[in-house]
Amino acid sequence: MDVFFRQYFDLGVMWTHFPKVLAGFWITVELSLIAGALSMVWGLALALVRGSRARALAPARVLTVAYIDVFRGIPLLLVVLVISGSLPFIEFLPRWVRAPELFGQPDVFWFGAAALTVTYGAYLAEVFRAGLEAVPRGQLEASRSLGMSHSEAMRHVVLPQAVRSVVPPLLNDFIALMKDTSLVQVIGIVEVVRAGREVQGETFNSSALTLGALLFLVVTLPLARFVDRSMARNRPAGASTGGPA
Amino acid sequence: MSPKLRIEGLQKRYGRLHVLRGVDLTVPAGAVISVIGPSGSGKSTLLRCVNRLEEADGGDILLDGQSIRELRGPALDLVRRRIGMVFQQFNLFPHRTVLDNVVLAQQVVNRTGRDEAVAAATDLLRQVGLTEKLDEYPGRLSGGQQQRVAIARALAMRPEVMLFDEVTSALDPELVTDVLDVMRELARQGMTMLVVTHEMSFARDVSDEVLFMDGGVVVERGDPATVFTAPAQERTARFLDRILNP
Repeated sequence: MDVFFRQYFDLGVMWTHFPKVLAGFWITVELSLIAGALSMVWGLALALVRGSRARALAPARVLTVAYIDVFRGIPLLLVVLVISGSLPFIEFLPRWVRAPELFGQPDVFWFGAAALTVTYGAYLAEVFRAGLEAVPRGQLEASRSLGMSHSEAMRHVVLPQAVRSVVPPLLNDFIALMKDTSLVQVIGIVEVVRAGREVQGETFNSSALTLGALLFLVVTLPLARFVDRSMARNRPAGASTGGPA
Repeated sequence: MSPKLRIEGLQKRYGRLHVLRGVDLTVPAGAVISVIGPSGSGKSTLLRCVNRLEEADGGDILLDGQSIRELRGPALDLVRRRIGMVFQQFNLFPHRTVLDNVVLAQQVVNRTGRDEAVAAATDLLRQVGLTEKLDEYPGRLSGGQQQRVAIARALAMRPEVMLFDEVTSALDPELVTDVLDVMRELARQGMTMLVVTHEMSFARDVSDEVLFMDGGVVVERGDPATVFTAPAQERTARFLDRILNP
């Protein structure tokens, strides 16, 4: 039993390597926030194109559906490798795409963020689509009957309701995204799991990884609780306007 | 003088279902026209075609003598501003307060300043008797209160014509009166109104003309006294008998 605790909960190892693990966790957080924000924007854009009815957008709609199917159907790790392994060699791309070193982060960081955005954008597009479809048609009709254009009605009436209704699933996917940032270590980003793994390699002890797990839980547990509570809160309120159906 | 609103030979099909089979209708300025008839007779579709929430398949719609059937984009938005609509299901914006429901379109569509829009909205909400509910969200209001907010919201655009699509059908019976009182007052003030309704007393007492629709056509039309007491058509008589003597 002793050996179990020494392997996983050695406070000495945790203490010694705390700065390294914490630095890795900071990278994890940065990557999660940036990729999370980007994939929200990207996912919403995809959902709007997919949900549009305009005839001119029909080809874009087909492309969007294909995109979502593809990136939900292939592993994130593969996307990470494909982006980081070849983007630098595609000469006609601008330099900031081939070797992005923005805001003091190395290019691998941005390749990782791009891979996460590309993949999670597809997931979030489906979340936003569900939200948009849940807004009753009468909301758009009422807005249009007041003289709003389609885009005004979307912006002021439909989207605010759609986004509000999908906050819990969005946060769920954010938790998943945050955990998946651990995959980008394969291209050399020392995020929290990689940091813990390096310590494990030096010390033949897994306690630094345990520490990493604890740091994850500090963020993910409160988020998960918040999701549960907001879902419980949203349920009875449901459709509060509209009278008897 | 051309009538405020004129509908000529309006046709509408949903696939093989022929919902409107050539409907003609004239609404003079300041008049109240009520449309009655059994469910599925095409009344609501007719109304929804007028402000182009549904696209008609034939015929024409004229507002002040100008055809609006081919309008698109901003020109259509502009015309919709002139035609207010109130829905059976209210369709209030649940994420906005009562006041903001009435303010929103003024700001977005008319680019009215916030203060001016709030003043106009407050005034309209007072007219429909909801002064105390300005900061409530629609979900906390009764159906009758919600529907009066919806009327105020439509009026805030200063429409020239108001369309009412079975606006009391989703209400508990005791809440109907408040909504009908607001509509009566609106008619008294000279609003041009096209009203699809199951409220026979309203159709009889307030309308200048009553249309009875069935099967996508206007079966009978005339002044309310005649249509309600001495209908010329057998179908009208049967419908009225069923509604008035249940």
